[in-house]
Amino acid sequence: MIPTMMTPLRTLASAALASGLLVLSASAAQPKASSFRMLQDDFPFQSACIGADFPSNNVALKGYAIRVGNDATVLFDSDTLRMAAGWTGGFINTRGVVFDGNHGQHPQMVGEQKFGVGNGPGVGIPGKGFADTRPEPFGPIDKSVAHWKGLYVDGMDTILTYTAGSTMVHEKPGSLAGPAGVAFTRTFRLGPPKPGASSIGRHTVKEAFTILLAEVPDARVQVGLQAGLPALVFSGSGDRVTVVAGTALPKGVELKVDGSRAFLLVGSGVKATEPFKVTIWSGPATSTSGAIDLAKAAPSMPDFMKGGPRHWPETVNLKGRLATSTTPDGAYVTDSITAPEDNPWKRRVRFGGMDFFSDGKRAALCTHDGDIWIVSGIDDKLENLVWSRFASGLYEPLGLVIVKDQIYTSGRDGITRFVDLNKDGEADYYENFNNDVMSTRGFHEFVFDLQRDDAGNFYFAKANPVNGGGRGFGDEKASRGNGVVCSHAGCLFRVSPDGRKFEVVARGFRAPNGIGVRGDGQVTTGDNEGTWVPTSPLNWVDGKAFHGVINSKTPAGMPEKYTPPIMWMSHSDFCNSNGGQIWVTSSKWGPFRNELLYESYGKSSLFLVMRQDLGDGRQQAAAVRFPLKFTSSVMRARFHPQDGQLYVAGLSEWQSNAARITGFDRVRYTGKPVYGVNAVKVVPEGVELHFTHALDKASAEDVQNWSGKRWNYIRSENYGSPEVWVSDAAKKGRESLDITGAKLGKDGRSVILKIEGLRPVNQQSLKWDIKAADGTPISQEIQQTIHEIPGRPLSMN
Amino acid sequence: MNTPLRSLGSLVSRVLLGNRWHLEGLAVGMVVWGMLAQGLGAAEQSMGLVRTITAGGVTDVSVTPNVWLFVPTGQPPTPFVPAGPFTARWEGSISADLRGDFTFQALAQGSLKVSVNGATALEAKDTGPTLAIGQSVRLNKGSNSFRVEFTAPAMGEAMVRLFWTNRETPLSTLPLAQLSHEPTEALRRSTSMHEGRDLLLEFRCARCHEAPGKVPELSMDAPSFKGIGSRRQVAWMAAWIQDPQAHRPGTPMPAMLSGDTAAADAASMAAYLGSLKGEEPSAGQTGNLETGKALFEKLHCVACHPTPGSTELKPHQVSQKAVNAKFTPGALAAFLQKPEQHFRWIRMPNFKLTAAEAADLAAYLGSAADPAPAVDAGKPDPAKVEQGRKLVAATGCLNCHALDGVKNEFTAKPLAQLASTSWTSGCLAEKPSAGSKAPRYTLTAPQRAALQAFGASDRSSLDRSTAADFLERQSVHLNCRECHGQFEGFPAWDHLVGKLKPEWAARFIRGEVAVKPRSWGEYRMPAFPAYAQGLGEGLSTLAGLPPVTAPDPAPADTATLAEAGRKLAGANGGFGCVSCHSIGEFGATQVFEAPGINLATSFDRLQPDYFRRWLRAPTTIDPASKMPVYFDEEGRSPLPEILGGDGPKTIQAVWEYLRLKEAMAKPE
Repeated sequence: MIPTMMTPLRTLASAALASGLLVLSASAAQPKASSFRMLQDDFPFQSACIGADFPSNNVALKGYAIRVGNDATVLFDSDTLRMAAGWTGGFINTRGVVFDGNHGQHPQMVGEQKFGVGNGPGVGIPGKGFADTRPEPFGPIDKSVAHWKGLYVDGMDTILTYTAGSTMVHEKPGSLAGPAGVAFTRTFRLGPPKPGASSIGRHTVKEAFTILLAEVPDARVQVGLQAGLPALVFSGSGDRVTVVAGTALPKGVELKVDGSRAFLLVGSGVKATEPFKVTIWSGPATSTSGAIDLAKAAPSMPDFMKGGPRHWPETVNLKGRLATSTTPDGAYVTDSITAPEDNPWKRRVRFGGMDFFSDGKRAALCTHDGDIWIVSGIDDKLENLVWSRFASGLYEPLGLVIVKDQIYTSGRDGITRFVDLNKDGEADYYENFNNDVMSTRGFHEFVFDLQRDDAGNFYFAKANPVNGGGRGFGDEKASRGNGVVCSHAGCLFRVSPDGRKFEVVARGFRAPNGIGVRGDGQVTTGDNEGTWVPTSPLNWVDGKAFHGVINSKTPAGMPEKYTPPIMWMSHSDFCNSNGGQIWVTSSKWGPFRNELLYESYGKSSLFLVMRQDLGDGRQQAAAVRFPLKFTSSVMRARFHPQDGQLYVAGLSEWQSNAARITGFDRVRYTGKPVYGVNAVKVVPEGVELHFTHALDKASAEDVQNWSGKRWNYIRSENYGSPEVWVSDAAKKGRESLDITGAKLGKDGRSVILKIEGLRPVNQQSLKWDIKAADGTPISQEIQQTIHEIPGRPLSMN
Repeated sequence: MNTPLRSLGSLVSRVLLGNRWHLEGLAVGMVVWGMLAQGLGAAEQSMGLVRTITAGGVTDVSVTPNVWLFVPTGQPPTPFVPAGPFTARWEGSISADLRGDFTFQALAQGSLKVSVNGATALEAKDTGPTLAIGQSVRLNKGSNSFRVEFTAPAMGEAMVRLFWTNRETPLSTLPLAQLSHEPTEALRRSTSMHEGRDLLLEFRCARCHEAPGKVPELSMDAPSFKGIGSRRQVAWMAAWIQDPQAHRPGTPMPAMLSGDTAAADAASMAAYLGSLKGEEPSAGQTGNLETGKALFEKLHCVACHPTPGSTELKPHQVSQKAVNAKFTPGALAAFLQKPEQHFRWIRMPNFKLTAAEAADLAAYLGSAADPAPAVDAGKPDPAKVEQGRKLVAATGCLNCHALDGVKNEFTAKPLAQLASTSWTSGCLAEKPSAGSKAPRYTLTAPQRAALQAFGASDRSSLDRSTAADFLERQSVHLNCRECHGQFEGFPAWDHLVGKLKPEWAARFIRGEVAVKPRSWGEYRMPAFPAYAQGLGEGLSTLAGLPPVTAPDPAPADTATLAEAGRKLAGANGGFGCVSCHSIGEFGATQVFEAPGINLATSFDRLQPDYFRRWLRAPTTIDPASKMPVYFDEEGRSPLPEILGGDGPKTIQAVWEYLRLKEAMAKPE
């Protein structure tokens, strides 16, 4: 009996909705090839959190998968200086957030594993085993035992550099192939690096140390000479044996066994003049002698100090585009510096950090995918952009700064400094500047941004290990790839100018994808909606405040020190996911010198922050958007050292409205007058707005041209917050403001809006459609946070 | 609490708000009862517009959520006027945040005139599928008088769908929150009469007072008596028959017995019903109380039932504290698994519970309910059973409750013979006279007034039905908004109107869609099989869309567009839809708090018009959506290398890709 109304119908409802749309002319760019080359066979290593098959749970948290030839790979962990595994027949898979995009996994070895060493230090002190004395099983091990210095890239060779005790060790992982299969080699050179051939000169070891070589559980071990080489032969059940052999070991350097572990002892007083090596092989017992034959080859070390050949001699030459968007007043335009998305190496390009060299003609940009690109041709016309590759294999760099024309990046493994030894335009030495930041297996433990103050200190931030799906932190039970909460999760760090001192400056962040540092060291951060973050905040870091995100390592008493941000921004229309912030240091960029700009990753937008001092270091702020369009998200910004214009770079991975995966734009001040708000102050009767221009009195004083809303958020463990009524938090949505009057100030440029029932509120928006005195329309919207109403007794707030 | 609150609630909602429309996040109940406290005369500005329809010299006034209308050929625009040429007028206020210039646009079959503050904003006639675009009009901040006049075509279907746009709002339907009206006396009279019709249907008056008609609910059943003795306990049935209102305030079941013999008669009738054995519920498995409690929460049972153990009972909630007394052992679990098995029009929906889940829920409900009284295991007195049989046949039970083999001996005058002047006695008597055989409904004064208003009408509306009318009525009775718009993750009710294709909506509400759209939610959309077709169609026609999805032929270049759509869906040079949305068997790659619906289901689910507006500006439709807005203010795509960045073409390309459904190729 239900009416079915099966009457034949015309196609009314399928009507295409007409709209007067402009069609942009198609750009010259062709649709890109479908597959990126996430792993490179023409570059020796990839850094990431990487797992091996054995011993169980063998994961190099700051791992380097290193190609050693013969289709063999070793895995080195720079936190523990441990050669964690070696395998043949492959490299690593592409699981993980910067590879296939997976949330909750990291790359795993691909091939047949030949040896492995479980989690823990790979360098020890004789008699003390390989004890892990770290308070948490993350971050670098005791630096007096061993410490990571960095690596040299020389063609397809990788030379690892670390200290062991007081001795500098250079180690070249390699492989040898013969009838017995593939054997892994570890060639060592002791002493400080010196240019010229592989000779060392003469180095005397002062403090003895040990280097872990292999773990072979449940095996008998035979110690002695094999065909003249000192060797350890582990044989367990079955036919397979593991052979560890020494070649050209100096006097006092010995192969040792401790239970199932094979290690190298380097005694004090050892005088090393030539490289020596250890060969590790695993295979059928019948091939043992073949393995020893392989091991007999004399150790050799390339002259890595001279700098290796170029990996990427080609360049990508592009033209930029000028004035891709313009503010309505014509004062600012965007110019697009075309990114080398289409490149001969099929590398994915997603910019996560950017800075200029001192000449201003070139910029360096790092990609989340692990590369550093250098672009030249940054000039007025952008007609000759030349992109070249500088470095690769990095562990998710999302920050880059150039100091004295030397590039520094921040990544999951800390701050790396790059040295181009032979000045051929590619980095040869990837130097560990500071690796104190801890890293667990979490896919979401991003290390964000890299900024400096005038004193030369470095600043960066680290996310909490957000679980796959977005809620909560470090649920290792749900997925190992969620990681665990370490005491650096959700912190902001400062590193001294020399890289030696690392300290936690502030706590309580979730995913602060971008910070801002003023010359005097004043730090701001954004954060990303989620657990404990109701919506996007702008945090003012004073070294005392706790910024709100509580995890299992939050020190007792901290949550009580929670200080709200100076400003919230609504995730639905202003910012759902932040980028960095930048202070306007340029005098060539219009009327906003010394003001703070806020970048939005999620809304691909740039905002002016208008702060109001409340005394005692407290502030509240409002934001207004620069109505410009960007190529991708807006995530990292710098003022150009010469032209004084603002440059922004960004990427898009998820929850951003950026359509392109990356972009690099210039926000250029054209010199035309700026029409808009430039200061917002809460006053007892309402809000006072100050404009860059004299206003038309009639339009400014007509309340019809002003409107506003307000709402609160609920800060909780839940993912983000709904917008709720100020008068009743049970109701969702925004309440309209009762604007009862608008009065133009004597200066002709400011308006006091009278707001009935003005009160402190998490978020208040104001919108206007007025005219300047010369008739130019001014149509803008701000969002602000009102912590208090100055001039009103606190009890009335 | 003997007042039938539920019905009163919906009455007040119609009389005062004039409709069932509300702001998201603002519970309907709160408004209704808040206003009730102020008295009937205290109505202020209410949401929606007053719509006046005139046809064949008859005028109907009601409140509608928008300027939407769809009238298939030969159908009436509302049940309260005859089919044929008609005019419609919408009146009220439209508000703007800020003084600004707006453009109204419309699709119309018929002629349409939109006026704002007395100035003509749009005139359109028989637009076909091309939007008519009006001239820019200035809206003041706050209220603006708003009037839309429409004349249906002399023949064929009639339709109106009105949109607006301004500098910052892409083309969208008029937001309900910005439409308001002042209730008029004509509206009050009309809505009271409408409510009387609703009550007549709800109380199944026509089951005794025969009234032929086309309204679906005229055939609404009641729990079947077949085998009821295996499902309900005798003592509970006796108590229920004697005074249903005491057990469930607001139940449409009247008290049929009165006087000194009522208790004994009820006992006899219950004894007889108890003797009607059918399939015995299996003792089944013993449920887990804790699991049941978790299930009660997950399924949001609280939308319609109080939390077991709680003494608070909201007007729209049905208490479950008598389940032990009411159901025979095992019968509750069986009922929960298939509530409609013996009562087709039951409001309790089917959650497709497994036997284990039903047992768990039953265990939980039983644990918090009053203990069951001792069951008299003795064989019932045959004389009493026979007496009960006679009473059941004679008292009118069988007018609503089905039972084979017993002749119904209760008669009442057909509705047509009940003059409106008599609608103050019998069932409608303010105080039933002693000895009256009339059912006792404990109607409130406004309910009686509403029924009397309907009685005074020509009652021809029973012979006419529209899907929109059915939807508006039943969405209140079924508490749709108690979940939609209330609980996290549920699409808000107001967003559903005009969103779903009617065929898919009907299948979904009927419980026939195997793929759960919001697969990540712990809640489940339950099935309302008897209501599904009408609700599905109503979700379209109320929005001015046809009850059968209009043909949407693939364009000649569909393959090229679909390939562009595939690129657009990918993360490599596209919008990255795959970050949050699965596509068929390809899982979403980077879901973060905001999983999206599997795109392989979208073509079947979504109205093309809704899809276009959604992709263009999702937060204009749902401000809380995490779906990014990709298109700029002018509607251009930010990807100029795909289809030249043409906004509508880009959106069409995604639609053509969606058209492939399960055959959608993997995006990049």
